[in-house]
Amino acid sequence: MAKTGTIVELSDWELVQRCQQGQVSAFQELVSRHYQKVFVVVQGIVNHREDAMDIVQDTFLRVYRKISGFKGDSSFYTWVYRIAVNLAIDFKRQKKRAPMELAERGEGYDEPVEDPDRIGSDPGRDLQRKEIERRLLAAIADLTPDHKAVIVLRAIEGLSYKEISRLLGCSEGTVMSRLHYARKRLLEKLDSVI
Amino acid sequence: MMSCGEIKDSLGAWLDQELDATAAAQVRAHLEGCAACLKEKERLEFLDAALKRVLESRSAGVAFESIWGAVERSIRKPAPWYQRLWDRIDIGLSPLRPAWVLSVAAVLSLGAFFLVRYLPEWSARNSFTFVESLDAHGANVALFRDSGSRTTVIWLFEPPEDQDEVSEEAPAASTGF
Repeated sequence: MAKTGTIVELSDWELVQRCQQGQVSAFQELVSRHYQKVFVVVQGIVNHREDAMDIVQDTFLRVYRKISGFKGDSSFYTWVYRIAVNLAIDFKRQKKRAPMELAERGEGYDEPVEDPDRIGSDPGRDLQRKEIERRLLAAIADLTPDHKAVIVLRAIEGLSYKEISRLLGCSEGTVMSRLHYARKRLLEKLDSVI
Repeated sequence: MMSCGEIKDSLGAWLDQELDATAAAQVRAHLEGCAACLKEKERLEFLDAALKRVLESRSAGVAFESIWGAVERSIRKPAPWYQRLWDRIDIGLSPLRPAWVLSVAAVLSLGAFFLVRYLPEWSARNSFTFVESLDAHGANVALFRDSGSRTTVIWLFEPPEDQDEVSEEAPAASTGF
């Protein structure tokens, strides 16, 4: 990707202001800064790589279309996350309403991806790690979209309860109880391996 | 003094550094003397680390071009008028949700109720009176409606003798209410 030396040094807010003046290259820089983390969060919620790609693309398209109205009341990434998480949650709810369609399309959840760098010399330990990952992914898939959203935002981004509550439009108490419930459910599913 | 159950319920928030100072100190003190809760704390730490590792490893290798290419194609293409209109209306924070629709419907219903209940002159403005004739399968029916007094009067008339096509459902009485 071609980047000018000036653009990469600008803050998110300065880039937003350039976008508002119609500078597409500034938006390209914003996308390049945030797409990976947004993708991780979205995939954590929808649990499907291709669907996550579509949602991330849709997220940035919406961001671009609405960026003229962005006043900087929150940080840019919080705003982007809010749109992405809401799209992902709505997507999961729609999918839940159409399980037959999902089955007919032959789609399922992603299996854990093996990272070659992490393959060690201890086969027993690798096997246990893979088992934990497999169970963990299955346990995450069983959570509701709202519970997935809080646990993913906390695990990936380390956001505070206040930030998560602002992002999801719920109270801090709700975030705390959802996190507590989600962790409890995940631990139950991993009970025999950890 | 917090029980083990209470401590276990607070461990997640404690690890997230979301407890107030007093509660955090209680948890810390309890963990120093309780092996079971300490074990639970370690399980939670393991879970958080595993979650981060698993989620991040599954999302590795997403090329920027694959995201940007599709976004750029879409933003270069002019949006239809309804999309532009919606973008102006929509605050952009989240898509329309059923809960929002229900809330708006509830507020509108309450508004309409209070308008009719406490502003009778408003509903009086919308009162109407009219008479209409209906063709009821051969029977002659006339309706008189007055919304102000909420009255409806129905007249049923004998059909003319030269018309023998009378519905079975038509009442035999010459007039009715």
